[in-house]
Amino acid sequence: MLVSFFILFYFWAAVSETNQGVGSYTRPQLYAYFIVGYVIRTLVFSTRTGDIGGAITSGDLSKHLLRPLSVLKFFFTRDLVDKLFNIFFMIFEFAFILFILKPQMILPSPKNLFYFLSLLVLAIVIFFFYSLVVSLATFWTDQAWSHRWLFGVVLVNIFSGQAIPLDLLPTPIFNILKFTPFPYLYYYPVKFWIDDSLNASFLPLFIQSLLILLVLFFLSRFFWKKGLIKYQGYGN
Amino acid sequence: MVTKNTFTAWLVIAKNNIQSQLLTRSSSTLFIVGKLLQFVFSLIIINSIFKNTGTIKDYAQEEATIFVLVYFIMDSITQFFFRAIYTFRPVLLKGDYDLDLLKPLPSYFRPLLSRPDFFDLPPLIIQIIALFFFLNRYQILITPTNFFAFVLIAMNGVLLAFSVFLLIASFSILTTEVDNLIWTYRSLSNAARLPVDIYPRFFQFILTGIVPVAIIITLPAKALLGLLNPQVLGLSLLITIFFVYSSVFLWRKSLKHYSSASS
Repeated sequence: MLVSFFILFYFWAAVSETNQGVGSYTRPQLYAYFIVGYVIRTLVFSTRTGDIGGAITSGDLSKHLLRPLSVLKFFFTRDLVDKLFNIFFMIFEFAFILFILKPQMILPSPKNLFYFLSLLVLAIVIFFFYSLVVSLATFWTDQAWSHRWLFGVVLVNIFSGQAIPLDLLPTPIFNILKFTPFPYLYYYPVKFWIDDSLNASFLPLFIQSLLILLVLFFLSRFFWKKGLIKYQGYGN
Repeated sequence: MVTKNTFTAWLVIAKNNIQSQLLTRSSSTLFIVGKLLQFVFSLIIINSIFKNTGTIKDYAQEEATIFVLVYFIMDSITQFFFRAIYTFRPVLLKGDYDLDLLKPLPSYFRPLLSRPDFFDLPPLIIQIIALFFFLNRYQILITPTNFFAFVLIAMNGVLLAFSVFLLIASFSILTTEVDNLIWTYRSLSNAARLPVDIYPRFFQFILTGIVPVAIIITLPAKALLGLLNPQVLGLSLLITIFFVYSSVFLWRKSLKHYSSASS
């Protein structure tokens, strides 16, 4: 992850060198977009929900079902523990990045920091349920990896804004993406860090994030209930 | 290195592999869709960047697009041939590699050539068509010399990729670690979507001399566009020879350390 971060950073440093920025983004804003984005990637996109798909195909889910624990709460707790573990390493990596690159970076006002943190917490929970829905789809497929790779890796990498600030894309694409969970996972949280011109739209975006979270929450419950009826545990 | 028997064995395995991949049609479709999405979106990103900034260093949009297209073509070719490296670790851990060493095939056959990935072929065809489409659209004239140089350098790139994967396979025998090395290689190869001259010098050195993704990916595109000078061409061939020899040397050394501990 550190290697891919440096590649992305140097790429955007080269891209923004001629005009000291790209589009409406200044160089310090772009640097902040990807450096703060590194924190978001570590916290939001690290998940253990992929294990559920494997457990469904191998039949190992039966073991979880026999335990006197809620399976979904168990995986949510594992996700949180995993993220706490990642935070520990991320502190050193982040310090390393700042030490090596010594980048000019935009720092947020206390208000924007609050907006950033609020959307970050929502992004973590949204991604958990999104990833859970993708994993639970394994109940209806012959293997766990292909749809997880497409919906959990490719689409998320492409459309969340990890590779490019989404407002630099053609406007129709950006407008369509607003109706998907993807920009709420990376683009909007980091946007509030680097740009206070969006402040007026925090509340509507926060409410949209909550709505997306609710949809994914109910979808995951629906998939879980229907999937358990379909589940046969023949791997065991 | 490659005999007729090895080629026949590869054909049989490739045939079995394509049958196995076609068994799960929905999964195959999802994989191919994912690869095509990555390809199309990379072109959209390049287009969007150039709409917001005139040039990237000295490169224009037309050149950058060709670099991205050649990146995908080279990536698809190397992934098609050498996908087996991704599944080598479990074979090593189980000790199953012993069975492969008993077969009358080159020892590198199992870790590198035993699992051609046919999911890379449909995207590869589309990428080649897209390359010709954009060359025509941008009215970039390809001389026979440039085209010949492109084919030659691309073949050199595949050979170099073979040696890089063989080095990874050697390290995996010594350490049983493959995944991190593979993903580091994949991440670094992403950097070669655009000519590596846009990066800082030390990073260029890493991408050319240590993990030579620049030679595997960037040079064929440069050859096609006629941007390659003879000195760079000569240097790249020397680097390939060095990598081929050192990878074969290390592979032989590492095989002597293979302990088959699990079997």
